[in-house]
Amino acid sequence: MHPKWNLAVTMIWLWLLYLAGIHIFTTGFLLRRMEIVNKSHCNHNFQFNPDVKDRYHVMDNKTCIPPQYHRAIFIIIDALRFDFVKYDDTLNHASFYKNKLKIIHELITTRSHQSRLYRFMADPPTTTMQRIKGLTTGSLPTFVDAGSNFETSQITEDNFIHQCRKINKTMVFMGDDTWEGLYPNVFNRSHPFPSFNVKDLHTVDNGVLRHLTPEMHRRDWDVLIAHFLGVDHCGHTYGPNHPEMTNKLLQMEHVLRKIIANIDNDTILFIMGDHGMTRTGDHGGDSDDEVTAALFVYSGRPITIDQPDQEWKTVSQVDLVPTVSLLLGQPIPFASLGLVIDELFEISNNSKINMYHRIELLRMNAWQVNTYLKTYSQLADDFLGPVALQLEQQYTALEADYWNDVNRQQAMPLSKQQFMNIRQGYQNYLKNAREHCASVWAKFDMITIGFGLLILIMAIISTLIILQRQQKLQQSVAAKMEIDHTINWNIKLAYEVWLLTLITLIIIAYFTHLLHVSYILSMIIFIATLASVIACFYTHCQANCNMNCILPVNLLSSMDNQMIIIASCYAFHLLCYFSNSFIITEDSITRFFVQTCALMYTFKLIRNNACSSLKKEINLTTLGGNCLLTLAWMCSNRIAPIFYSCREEQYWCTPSTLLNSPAGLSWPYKAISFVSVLLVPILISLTVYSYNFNATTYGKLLLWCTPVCSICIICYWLILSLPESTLKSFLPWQHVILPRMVYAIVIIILIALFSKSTMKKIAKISDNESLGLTGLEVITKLLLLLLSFPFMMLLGCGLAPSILLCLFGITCFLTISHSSRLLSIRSNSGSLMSCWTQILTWEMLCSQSYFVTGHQNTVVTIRWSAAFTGLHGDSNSYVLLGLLVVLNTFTAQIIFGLSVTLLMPMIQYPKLWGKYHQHKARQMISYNTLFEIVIYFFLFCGIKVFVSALAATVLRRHLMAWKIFVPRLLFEAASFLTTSISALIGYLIAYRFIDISDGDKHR
Amino acid sequence: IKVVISGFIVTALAVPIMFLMIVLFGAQLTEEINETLSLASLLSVLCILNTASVLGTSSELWIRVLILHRPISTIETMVMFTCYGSILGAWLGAFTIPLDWDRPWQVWPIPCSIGTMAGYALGLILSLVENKLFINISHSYEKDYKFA
Repeated sequence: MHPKWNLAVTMIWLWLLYLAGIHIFTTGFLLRRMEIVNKSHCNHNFQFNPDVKDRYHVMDNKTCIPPQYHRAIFIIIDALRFDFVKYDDTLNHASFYKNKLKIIHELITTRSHQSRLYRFMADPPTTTMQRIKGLTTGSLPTFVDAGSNFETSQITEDNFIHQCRKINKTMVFMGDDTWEGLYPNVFNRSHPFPSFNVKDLHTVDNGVLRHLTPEMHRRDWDVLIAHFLGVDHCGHTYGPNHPEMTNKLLQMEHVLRKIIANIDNDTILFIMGDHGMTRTGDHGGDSDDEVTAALFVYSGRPITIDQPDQEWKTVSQVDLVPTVSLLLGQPIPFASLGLVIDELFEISNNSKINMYHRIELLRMNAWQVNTYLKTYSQLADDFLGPVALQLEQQYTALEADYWNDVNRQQAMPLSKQQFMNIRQGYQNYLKNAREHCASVWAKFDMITIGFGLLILIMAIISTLIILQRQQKLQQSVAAKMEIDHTINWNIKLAYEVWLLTLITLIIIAYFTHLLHVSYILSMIIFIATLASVIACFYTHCQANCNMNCILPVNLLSSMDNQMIIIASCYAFHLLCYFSNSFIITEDSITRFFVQTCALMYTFKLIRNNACSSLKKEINLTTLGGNCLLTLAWMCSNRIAPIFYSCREEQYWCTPSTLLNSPAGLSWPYKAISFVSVLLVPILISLTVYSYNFNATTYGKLLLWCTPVCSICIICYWLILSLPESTLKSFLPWQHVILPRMVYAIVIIILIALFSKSTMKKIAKISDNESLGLTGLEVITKLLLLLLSFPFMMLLGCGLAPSILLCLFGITCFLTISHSSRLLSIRSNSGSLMSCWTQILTWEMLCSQSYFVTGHQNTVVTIRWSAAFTGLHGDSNSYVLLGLLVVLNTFTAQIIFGLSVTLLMPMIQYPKLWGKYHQHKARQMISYNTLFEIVIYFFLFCGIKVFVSALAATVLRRHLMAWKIFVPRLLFEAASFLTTSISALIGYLIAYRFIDISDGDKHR
Repeated sequence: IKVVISGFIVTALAVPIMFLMIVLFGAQLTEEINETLSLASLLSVLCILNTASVLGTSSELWIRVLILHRPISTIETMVMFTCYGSILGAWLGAFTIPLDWDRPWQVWPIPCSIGTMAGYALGLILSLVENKLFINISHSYEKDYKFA
């Protein structure tokens, strides 16, 4: 096998090592809850109090207790925050969202017995799918579920909907199509509408309204569910403080009035929000604004004779499931952890009978939870064991107390005080159970976490070993001009061991039918990885006979002051992962470090210049030019914060207006964006002309097509900045045609760029001396410039100039660092070794550019709206939509990953080749240097992932763990993925280019 | 006396440069100008004033001592150490600003000023140690220079 393939195999092996580490760590860290498919039934062993049971005259086999209502209507208004509903008497200034739903206030004041309003506390994560799951199954979510919001999968756990289905209730649904994904073919009549397009405020709501009125009059249903999305979409698009929100709420008020007018005595109406929204209109996290929704209950006849409390009661979202189930006389779903809201239940006018009834309900509820916990702890090894045992004891004690009290005398002996005590006891038990479950399911699998960390560390060490090997290779090449082909074979061996072990274990697992457990899968990966790493270490030690080769001795020995400071910047950055305030201010901190690096490189430049000035060969004009360039670069870094978006925790931060849609931008600023878009084709044509390939077909293609791209983008933004009403009159294809044209043009040009003939042509422009590496530089530059079209379009009008800032930073950094190295090479012997500080700085630039493109490491700041550039919101290919969001979020990572090959030292100093006369040696060196650069890049990104994983592990019980550290870890892992994949692509491009230009020369 | 006067002039000239640098590193340009200016002048006084008094206005001397790190006399060593010490101190001082401890000393620019002075003091002590131990700094830096 050709040695260059050894390098590729090694790189892929290392990459897989990191991936395995990340995978195993995350499976341990983000634990799943086991789903139990058991269903509840009525003919259970629950022992009623005979006194109470006698009064349940109408008991048929369909219902467990006499149903209080036969029909239920659920109106879900997505993101209905509590303060949207609560009437504020003291409101003295105009608000866009307060006091808009007056009907609810009217009902509460005029028909206080028929209506109840609650604070409805959602469990984080507050995404719609999680909430629908919670609202129907009554179970608690785990963090992992949050990611699956856009790939809805059927619910297998017992739930309210299936219970209704079982007793042949007629169910009608209309609204958000997430429901249809969770409950396919369950509803008798279903009218789903696409939910993904958040810019579309009206399709879902109008669709629901179209069907709601006829359905209300048909009266053949038992359960009606209507899910409105307008308020949520309005929040996402405009935020709560916008006239659109007022319109939406007034529309909702109108709908509610109509519905309420049609409610009869046998129907109960629930109006609820599934979650709230932040002050910017987003949701997903666990802040108070996001979890506090509203629940309003109304019926045509008095619900209860109790007087409502002055303060609004707080109920949990899972409490809805047992309450509704018992109101309709159904069993409580098996996995529900809710606590029945007993004040809504009443079977007679006698308050004592009612009390007995309520106690029965609580007992049923406690019985169901106890059964669930028992089953769960049996099935899921002793995962919940000790807690379940303790809770069961509590349950048994409560039951015993109750029967003691009841059996003391005959015929309803309990006093009101005793009732209150019993009620309190059961409520406490149920609350306890829920809290325990929540805390247990947030528990971490420390063994898997440890394995994950171990693999990450081993991946880092293996990278260091391979780098060590590379260094030796370079030395041997420099000294003897011979290439040791065997030097990498053992890495290949490690790779083969890895593959073989993996395949064998998977086959074994398959035949033993164990594969469906995710735990086993990660164990297999772990064992395989471990085996391969051991193989690698073993062969390495055999070759070297001592362990201290693992340590990066050579790296450390060649450090000077500037390098130490740059390295300590990186080290400080790593330490930042352990402090919440540093993560919150990470955007400024990375900027601070980048500025330091810029100064350091300039200082080094001056120093090297001063060194050579001693030898009387100073060039003051280039020095001055470079200093000015640094200044410009630092200034551009300093103005970059106008593109930053705000974290929730950054209270001092005012959200940048540039993140808005083009309609919200001022005209002068739009002009700047337009100019920046137009600059890209100018830069491209400058490149084309300066390398003299304007005459070729490809050059012409570039010159003619790229301005079209810019014009398309500008027109697209102009269309977007039209007023809302005009925009609505556009047909769907008119919205997407311009972005699609841009995608098409860019893809065509890129394919043409990577075709063999173009690459050959570009290879010709570079002189023989550099083995065609100037051509590689041209290709990478063109690639970056071409990609900046779709990136600019995805980032939107406001953020488009930030791409230019990033490209400017890349150019400045390359110029300054290379010219300083050139000087040191000229004055010293000079080595071809890729300089690791440069790659380190590259990594830091990358993480700074992430913030410059308007992102933060929080789930809320992901800009989902990017998915609509060029695609219909209702298009079904979630893969494409997701891809666009990923491209938007990790723009910086992709740019820096793809162009990491620009760091190849030979690109800048072709003269260095002089030493290597043999063609073969040159080729080998270029392959090896490329390999080394990418490996270094992996190493630095991998260390960051490792440290953030470590920080998340150490601080897993921290107050801010799920808000700051875990999102940081997830973003770090995701950015490692995108960076490494794009670096691999960049590597392959360079590879192909060298191959092609090389083959050309042979002929 | 002439050297001292020129030193003052150089220091005065250094203040706007320092100000620019501090702003580039993240200080507000429009707000708290007085605070930033005071830090800039502190830095200039500690870094530049005595350097200028010792080295005068000869650019060759400046390059040799500050950029090539090859001081010849004791006082040049001291100047070099204090100058770098105070800049490094200011740089390190900035690290405490984002912490959410809400201490009164975390107000801009106090951490940086403290860092500057601590760095200056440390530089003084280090230069004393260096001179006392008779380590030939110029020699040790010559090796360093070779690698650069």
